[in-house]
Amino acid sequence: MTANYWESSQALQWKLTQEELEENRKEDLKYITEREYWHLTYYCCNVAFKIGRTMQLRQRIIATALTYFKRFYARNSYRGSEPLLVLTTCIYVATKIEEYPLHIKNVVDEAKNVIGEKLFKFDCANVAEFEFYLMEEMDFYLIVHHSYRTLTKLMLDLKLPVSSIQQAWWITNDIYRTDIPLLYPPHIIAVTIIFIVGVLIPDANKYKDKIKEWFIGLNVDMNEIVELSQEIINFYELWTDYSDRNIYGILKKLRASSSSDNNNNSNKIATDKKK
Amino acid sequence: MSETRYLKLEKLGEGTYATVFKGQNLLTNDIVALKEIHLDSEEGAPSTAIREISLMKELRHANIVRLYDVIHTEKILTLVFEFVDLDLKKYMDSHGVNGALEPSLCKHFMFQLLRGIAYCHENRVLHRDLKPQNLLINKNGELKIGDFGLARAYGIPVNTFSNEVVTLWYRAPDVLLGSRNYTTNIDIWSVGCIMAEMYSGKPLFPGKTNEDQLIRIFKLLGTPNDMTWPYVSKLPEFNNNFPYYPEQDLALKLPMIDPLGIDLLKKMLQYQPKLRISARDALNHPYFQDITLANPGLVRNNMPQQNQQYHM
Repeated sequence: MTANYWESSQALQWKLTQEELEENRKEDLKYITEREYWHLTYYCCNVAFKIGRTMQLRQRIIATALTYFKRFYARNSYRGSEPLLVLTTCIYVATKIEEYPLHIKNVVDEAKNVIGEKLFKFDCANVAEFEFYLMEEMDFYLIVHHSYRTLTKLMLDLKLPVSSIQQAWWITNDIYRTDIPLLYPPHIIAVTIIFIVGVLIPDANKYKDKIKEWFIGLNVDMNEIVELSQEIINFYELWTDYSDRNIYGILKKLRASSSSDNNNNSNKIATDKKK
Repeated sequence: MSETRYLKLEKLGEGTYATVFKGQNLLTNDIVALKEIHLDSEEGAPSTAIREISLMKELRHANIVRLYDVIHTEKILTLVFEFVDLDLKKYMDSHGVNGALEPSLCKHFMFQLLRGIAYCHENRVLHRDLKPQNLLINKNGELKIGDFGLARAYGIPVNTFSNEVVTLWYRAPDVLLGSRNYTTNIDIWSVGCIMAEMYSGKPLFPGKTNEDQLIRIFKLLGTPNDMTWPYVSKLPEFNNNFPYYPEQDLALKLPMIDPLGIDLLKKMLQYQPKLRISARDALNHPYFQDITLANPGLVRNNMPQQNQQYHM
């Protein structure tokens, strides 16, 4: 919302490093493998995209919700929380922030519908109660910058074919499955996506010189762009291997060996909050 | 939690969706404003509150009231704001002559108001509910814009959560005519209305209903038509039977405003939204050429001498 990214809370408070994220992940990785960690993350993101589709939410709302989700799990573990409650609450808060307020019941019903009652055992009261906790975890920094607008503007300026703009949008959506939105400024993400799409355009040669010239004129660190595009390609390699068949098993493993504090997470949050 | 960190003192007023109390930080003894929002256990925090919190977390400017803290108890969300003594309405009532302020003071307030609004607009934030009650004046004569509860990107509610009705007096004609396609220029209209009110002590367009509000505007600025405002007749609430009024001379209606001030006011009270001056351009208007505020910290020192009596 705020125009200047560099002065935004996203740049000042919520731009994280790979090390910070890895440090926080250690707790979960005692119980599940890294691959399982990512599969659970992809599963949650898929749920968000599905809810977005069935409720016909703008892409931006889901992008904001997933940014909240990632921010929450930059400070918390899957094991110590209820990822599907967190996710649903992220979507609910994002609809309020992105000016498309929905009834809590509609969001909860849709989550139940998409996830299934076997995994989603929460009701409106749980989401309403968790809402504050979620916002507090983000220090109430709720306005998120995305790369969609920059991306579209740059691509129109470059006069790239419509099919490649569409492709760029898909990649932008996919990036919300990864940590990239927490690690890079939106305009760097946008430029990198153009870098990738430029290679993928059917008659790429026609555009090669134009794109090359354009990159030379940009005041960006090309090493950063190359590094980020490698990260995006790595994500797609992991992603092709994804299947949601084992989600129940992963969630079970996360809870399993903790007899004392398992199943009490939502209660724990509730009591924490009342302290 | 709030009971232990802040002491709740007297009630200051009812906001658009909350009750505001004076409070004291028990650690620092600082006086703060506590804005209490009752939570709906069904729908969580009102989206107005969430929008306000999130915007206030991003906006840091000398002319915008600061949000210090957010506290949650079972049924109440409390926003802890910088405490400011008076709002502009009360300031005019207690310090003005029949509500009218000294011209030099009006200019200082206008400059600060436009600076705060320019900052909001440059950050793509519309306030949408600017009125004297939402502009706070502290002891040092600093003006701070408050109450961002309605600062969202669409839909100005007619009724708020309490039974208080959002005032129509500062609402732009395009909004009154049902346009939903508005941007920063709706705030500029409000600033124009506030400017006139500071000088004269009386609201410029104190309408009672949507229609009455429009008629009052037409009586002063002339009934618009497709010639004076292209496509105005296409707006949803436009009525071809609006009575015809010719445009009046603003300078005659507001003789206490100097010619440069009238020129700026005219540029803010343009019918066509896109012709309204931007806050940034307004700050560069010759009306402000004798303003000598180098930075926010100098506001106090540069307050005109004769206005010292206004300070508490």
